[in-house]
Amino acid sequence: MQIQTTEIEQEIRSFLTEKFLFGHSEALTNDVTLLGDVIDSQGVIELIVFVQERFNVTVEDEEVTTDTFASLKTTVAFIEKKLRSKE
Amino acid sequence: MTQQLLTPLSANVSTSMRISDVVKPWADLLPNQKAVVDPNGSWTYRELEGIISQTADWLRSTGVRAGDRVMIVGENCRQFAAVLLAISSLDAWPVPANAHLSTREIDAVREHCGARRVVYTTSVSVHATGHANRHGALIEDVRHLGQIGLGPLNENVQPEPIDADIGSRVAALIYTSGSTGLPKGVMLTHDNLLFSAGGAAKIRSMNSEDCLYGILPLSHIVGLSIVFLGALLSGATIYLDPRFDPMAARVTLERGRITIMLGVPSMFSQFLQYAKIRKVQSLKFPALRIISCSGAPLPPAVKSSVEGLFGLPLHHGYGITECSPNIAQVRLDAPPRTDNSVGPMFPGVEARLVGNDRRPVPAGEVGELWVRGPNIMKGYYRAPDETAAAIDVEGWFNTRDLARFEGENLFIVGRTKDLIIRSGFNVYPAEVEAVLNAHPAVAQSAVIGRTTHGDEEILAFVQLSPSSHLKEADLAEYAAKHLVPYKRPSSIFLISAMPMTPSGKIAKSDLAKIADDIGRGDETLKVEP
Repeated sequence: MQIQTTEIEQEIRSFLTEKFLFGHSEALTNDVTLLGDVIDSQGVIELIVFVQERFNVTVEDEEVTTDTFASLKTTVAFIEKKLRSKE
Repeated sequence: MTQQLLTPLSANVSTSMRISDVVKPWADLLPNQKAVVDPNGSWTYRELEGIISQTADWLRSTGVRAGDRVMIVGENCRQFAAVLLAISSLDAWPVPANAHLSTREIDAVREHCGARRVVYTTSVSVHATGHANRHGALIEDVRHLGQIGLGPLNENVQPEPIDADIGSRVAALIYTSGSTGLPKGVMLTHDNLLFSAGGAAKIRSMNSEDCLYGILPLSHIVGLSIVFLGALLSGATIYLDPRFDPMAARVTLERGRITIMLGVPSMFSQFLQYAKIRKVQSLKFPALRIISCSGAPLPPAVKSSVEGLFGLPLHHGYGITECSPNIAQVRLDAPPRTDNSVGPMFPGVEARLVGNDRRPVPAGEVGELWVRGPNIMKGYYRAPDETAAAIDVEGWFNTRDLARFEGENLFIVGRTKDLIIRSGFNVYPAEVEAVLNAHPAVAQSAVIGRTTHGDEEILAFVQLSPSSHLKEADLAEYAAKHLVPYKRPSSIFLISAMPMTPSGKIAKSDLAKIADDIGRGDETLKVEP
């Protein structure tokens, strides 16, 4: 079943809000820098685990870059690309 | 052509030189050797020498004078390195600051040090750019450095007097991370830093074939002294990386052919998490020959797991900013240790352990650690009372850490001010943390004391491994099996992320606030004594 962009964004947003922002969803603006502003190095591991388990994709070490996870938007785009490559 | 194998001694290092002077011998001996690498490019020793000189000219043209404090707000990159050494070459004082610091912290440092100028590494750090914009900095295109933020000239500050002896001049003003209190500006001289960097390089037999992983911030004493200056003293290459995560680090260790990685324990703990999610039993890097950590207690369980993962001994050391930072270090040629000793004293540094009466404690007993040697700071900037309280008239510096010796090996048992006195018994948080960290579902933990009804209670904050569903009650039961009653946590808090200082240490001062925010009973497990 195809997952919509809005659904991916909602899932990532909920995960980050609950895990790292103590429920303060307003802090997760579109231009906020995820790596550094929202999640630390330990958080990166948790994000990768979440993405792999929830979307059933494999995130390679080489793909974990500040460009890939620069923002909510780039993260969603990355997951979409991974899902497309599975089809 | 076979690379010449050269050591720090080959570089003809002497005292009475500036930290910026360590580049020239290698620019002459190995001009085409890579000196500084970052994700965007590299400079050879010859290039670095020229860039330091040109950057110094640029800084001078912007009004920087000898004795001025010049703050660098940035993250690890070649620009940060060049600006730092260029400031030093002018006999001005570099004040390196991590761009991840909050606006309040950055502004407090800028105000306290009286920065003549602030330089921001805007091209590689959105955080530095944020501070630059807030301070009204201009973004300039500087030759070889690319885009750099330059803050307004502060015309109201006076340069500090210049010491006649070059080695006694201030080479860096580093504000401590503040994990236990308000930050203080630590004045470290050229002699301080070169003594420490040279000794650390010698202990590790660092040479021109080494490539060090510069993952600790240049604003952090270990990142600056041992890793950065240690590499340059040795004619080695340093790979500067602005941020750590185990996935990116794995790639860099492999592709960058890193030979030496120094980190903090939490970085190595994250490699263990990484191995778990990747379902790998070992991480083998053919070039890697030394892994070492300092900056926080190293739980024996983490040490042995990391050693199994890397197939290398994880060396432990101990130091603090005021000591440039080396105080003790496990030797590479010593038999591997299974305990958490930080090794023998650093060569040239003396130690004594004293009790509350300031008299030496009997051999083998715990005492407050005082140290003396060429590594001891010049003092705290603009804080003579704090300096006098830290360094006595004979030059002994009070680390405020509690320690004991087993033979010549030093063991750190906790901070003097962290010591928890529970029902009259001494409880060292590091011991309780070591027990909790040994649980396979625990990523990391931190223990603090809280005064209550004339006693102290023990609060444990625990961050679980990803996907773990352990409950507080399970941890309490586990602690009860491994700790006598007075050492067991009174309350256990499961938290999703530890508050960390920018240098990667757990910010214990923030944990007390978290405990108060959560309340004394809600969302925690109160453990009956």
